[in-house]
Amino acid sequence: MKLSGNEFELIKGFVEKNCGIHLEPGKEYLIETRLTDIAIEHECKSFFEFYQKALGDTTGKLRNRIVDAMTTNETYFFRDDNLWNYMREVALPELLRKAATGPVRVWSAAASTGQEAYSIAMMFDELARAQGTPSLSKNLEIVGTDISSAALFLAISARYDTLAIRRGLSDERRSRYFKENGSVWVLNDEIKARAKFRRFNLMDSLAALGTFDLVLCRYVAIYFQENFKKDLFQRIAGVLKPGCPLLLGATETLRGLSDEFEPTVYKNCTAFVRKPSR
Amino acid sequence: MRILSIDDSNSIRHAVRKMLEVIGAEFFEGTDGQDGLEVLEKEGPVDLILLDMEMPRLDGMGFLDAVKKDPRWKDIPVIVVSSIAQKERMIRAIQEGAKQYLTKPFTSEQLLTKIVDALHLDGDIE
Repeated sequence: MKLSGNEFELIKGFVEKNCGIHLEPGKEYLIETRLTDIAIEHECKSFFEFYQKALGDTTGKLRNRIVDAMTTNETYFFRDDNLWNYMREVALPELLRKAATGPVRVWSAAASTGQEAYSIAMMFDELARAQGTPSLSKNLEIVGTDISSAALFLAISARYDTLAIRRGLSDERRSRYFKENGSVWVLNDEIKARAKFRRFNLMDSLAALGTFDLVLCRYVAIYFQENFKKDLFQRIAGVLKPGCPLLLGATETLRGLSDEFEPTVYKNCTAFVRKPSR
Repeated sequence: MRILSIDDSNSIRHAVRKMLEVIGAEFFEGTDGQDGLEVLEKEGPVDLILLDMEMPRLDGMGFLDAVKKDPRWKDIPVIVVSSIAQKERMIRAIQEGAKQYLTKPFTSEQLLTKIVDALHLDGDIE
């Protein structure tokens, strides 16, 4: 469905106000490709009609669907080599050290269909085995959140088709952690048990999630407007323990958004380490 | 969970069959609207129908019309799967009782999240 200049301004305003998502001029295609299905399902022949429907929605359901559609990104196992190199050599060994004395908690803030959360669990398990302490994996708790409960349903099922399993996962990991069932790959129960998933809107208070030793919030905040980004990172600082890292997408930064974190570069990955509480 | 995919394209039906294995769905297929009705008669009710619009013999609108008039099938949720160019027809399909709409081409994640949503499989997720 085509979007006119006026409609872009209206939808942009609605999305900014209700979802915290900022759309620059030139992002018209994002609205066209991501919201057309929803507009049609609401029997709208134009984005102007859709805008009016969205304004009149008092249930919040349409708003959630719009946020979901606008923020959903492709996801795959071990996305971004530099980040996973940092995870393997710095972040997870540190978590493993802590796990020797008690539970450690990781938040995957845009969990979608679960690949990031399960990638963490697999790598943690590999490191625990390599140092001869496989049972330490049981001290890892990953909380995966997403606004889309449908995506989370798929994450919880931990079943992936051939295409999804090929993306980012080595043959070795695939055969170690997954079992083939027809054309579906099913994750083993031990790795699956490391991650818990729950529906969550990043605009809401993080208090209910508890505190974390590591947070991954990748490719979500890029869509949010400045004020909401500042607010989100302030709230993340409130749930991330001092000295622990926040990891963003490869192109994302906290510059000008928060002074609660110290950027730390390791090889080609920047981690934002929570400063000690003042 | 029993899902009927009606599409005149062999490759789309094949791809959908593979995608549905992820959620452990039992797959039925129809090559056009008429064939889809015959499959329903033969196999009995399904939990969900994925419906293409442009098909020979009986097209998607004709199939939808027949299904919504039949008390045995009228409550089965239908997801219309078609190309973006057919906006007016898609809206009419929604008005005629189709539950959701999915633009071709689609990924398995897009299809599966629509199905999960349509069948409320995610109802227990807090």
